[in-house]
Amino acid sequence: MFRLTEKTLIIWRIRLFAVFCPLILAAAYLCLYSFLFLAAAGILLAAFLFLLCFYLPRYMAEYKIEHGEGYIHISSGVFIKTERILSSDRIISVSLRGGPLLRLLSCRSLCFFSVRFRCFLPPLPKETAEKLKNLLGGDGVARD
Amino acid sequence: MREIKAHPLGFFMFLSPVWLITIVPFARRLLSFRYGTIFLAGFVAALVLLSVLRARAVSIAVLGDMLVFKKGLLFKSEEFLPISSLASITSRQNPILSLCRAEVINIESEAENAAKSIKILLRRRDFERILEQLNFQREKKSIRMGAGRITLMTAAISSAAVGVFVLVPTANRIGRLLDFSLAGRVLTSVRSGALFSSAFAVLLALFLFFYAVSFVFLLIRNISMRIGLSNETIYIAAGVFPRRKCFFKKRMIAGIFIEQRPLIRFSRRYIIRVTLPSGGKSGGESGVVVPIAKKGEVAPFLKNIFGVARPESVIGAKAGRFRFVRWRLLLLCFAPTPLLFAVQFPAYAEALCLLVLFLAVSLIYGLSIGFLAPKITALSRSGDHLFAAGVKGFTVRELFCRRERAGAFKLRRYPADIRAGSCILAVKSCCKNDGTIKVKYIDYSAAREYCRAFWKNQ
Repeated sequence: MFRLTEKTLIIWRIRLFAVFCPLILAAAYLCLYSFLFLAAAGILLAAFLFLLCFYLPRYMAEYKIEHGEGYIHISSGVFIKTERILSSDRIISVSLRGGPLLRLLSCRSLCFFSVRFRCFLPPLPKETAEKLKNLLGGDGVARD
Repeated sequence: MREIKAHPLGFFMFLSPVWLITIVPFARRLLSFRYGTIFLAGFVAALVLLSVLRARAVSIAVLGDMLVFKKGLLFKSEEFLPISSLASITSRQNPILSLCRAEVINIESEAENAAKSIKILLRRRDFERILEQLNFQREKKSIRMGAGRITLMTAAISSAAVGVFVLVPTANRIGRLLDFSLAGRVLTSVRSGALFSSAFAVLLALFLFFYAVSFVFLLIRNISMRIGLSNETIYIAAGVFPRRKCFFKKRMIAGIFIEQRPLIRFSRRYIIRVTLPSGGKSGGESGVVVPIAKKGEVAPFLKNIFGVARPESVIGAKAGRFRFVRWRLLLLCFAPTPLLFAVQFPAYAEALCLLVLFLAVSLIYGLSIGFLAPKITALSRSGDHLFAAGVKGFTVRELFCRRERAGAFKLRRYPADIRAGSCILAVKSCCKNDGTIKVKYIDYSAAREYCRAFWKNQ
């Protein structure tokens, strides 16, 4: 079974910060012109704190990737739990991706395609991603 | 086997209607110039000559276990398709082609990309030869479907949306060709109140009109249906203008759907829909709809033709009826809400009352289906096939899908499901055009074990 690590949480938090901070700052600046933006800024801040402190850690804890005899089982979700079960023999292609942030933290993002299904896994440590890639597609699979 | 060239009339396939629509307005302006006629004649002649040469460059041949398709004039291409990967062969023949003894052939492979499919105009004898080489022989004995069944099936599968997709592009093209804005004229008439007195009447008239268009289109497409069966191949011929024939191997079937839509349900009948993995993007068939009569005829049909049967033991619904109907009950409570607006806007009272009546009738019918849903919901295996049954909207659907044609399973649990130990399982086949069947509120642990066991290597 594969689980997400603290590095994944750090990456998510950085992305969350990068998305929400400009919005909150913009809303706070616009408060000078209208009181409504104060409410908007408050809502954005509350959502940001909720995601940062509660939702993301729980999501990370709930995310599981299991590889069994002929199948892959991916579980995720905090309030609404979703599980995807597919045949590991019918995976058509697997690719490893890593932007600057992921490479800085020695992580990779894995995505794979099957019949009428595609899955983008969260960032994983490089070794784990390689191991999972070999399990899914074997050696010799094209790398992005 | 020698190479087979396309039919001489194949050049029409390269004369796209888009060219005609582009040329006609341009031609009108060109004719006003001094040498415009000569230039226009030369342009049209060049277009026709190019199409003829391109058509002559198209050929097809069977070499061993490969189908070879050649095309292209300046940029030649050769496509090699393994015969084992061919999903379906469809032919279309309108009255003009019938007189010329020609048929438009679409050969679809398992690949989802339309570029991997073949479209060619062949002589009838060449088509028969290709069928023989590819082991898609047609059985001489076939079953003819009655006109009554076809009409009922067509009424059930028609929809206003299909009518819009059929009529609107054609009307627009004709309008551009004749320099005539059909949509503009209709809108002007509606606004001036010349045709209809209220917006509701307009919407209703449009809905009925497009439904009628869809019905006529699908009836012409499906009438005079014949089904031929052999050990390996299924052959279906239907339609009048054009007449289309579809040959496909049983092992290529992606999903077998048994559906009961509202109109079909009233007559206690079922529709069997067989889908193929190709998706039909190049103009070939993605699946066929077979009208079947009563409940007692479904099981023998499935057994004799496809070798599947409904399993005895299934994973059934864990939840009671209330869980299946709670959202419909809630909507029914809010259905009279538009009547509040009728008090505010008395001019629209009649339309709003009709709307509320329509909503109430639909929701009550939906409730009746919802009450039956616990008995219908099922998940099991039938030999090597997945079997799933569920209710979607007003339609009851069952799916038989071979293991190698099944898509990924998706289990979803909402907070209420987590408390109750149930889940919603979404299953689908590998055909892109297939919908998803949701098996609702079944036991979570049983469903999870089923999904894992389904994919386990044999």
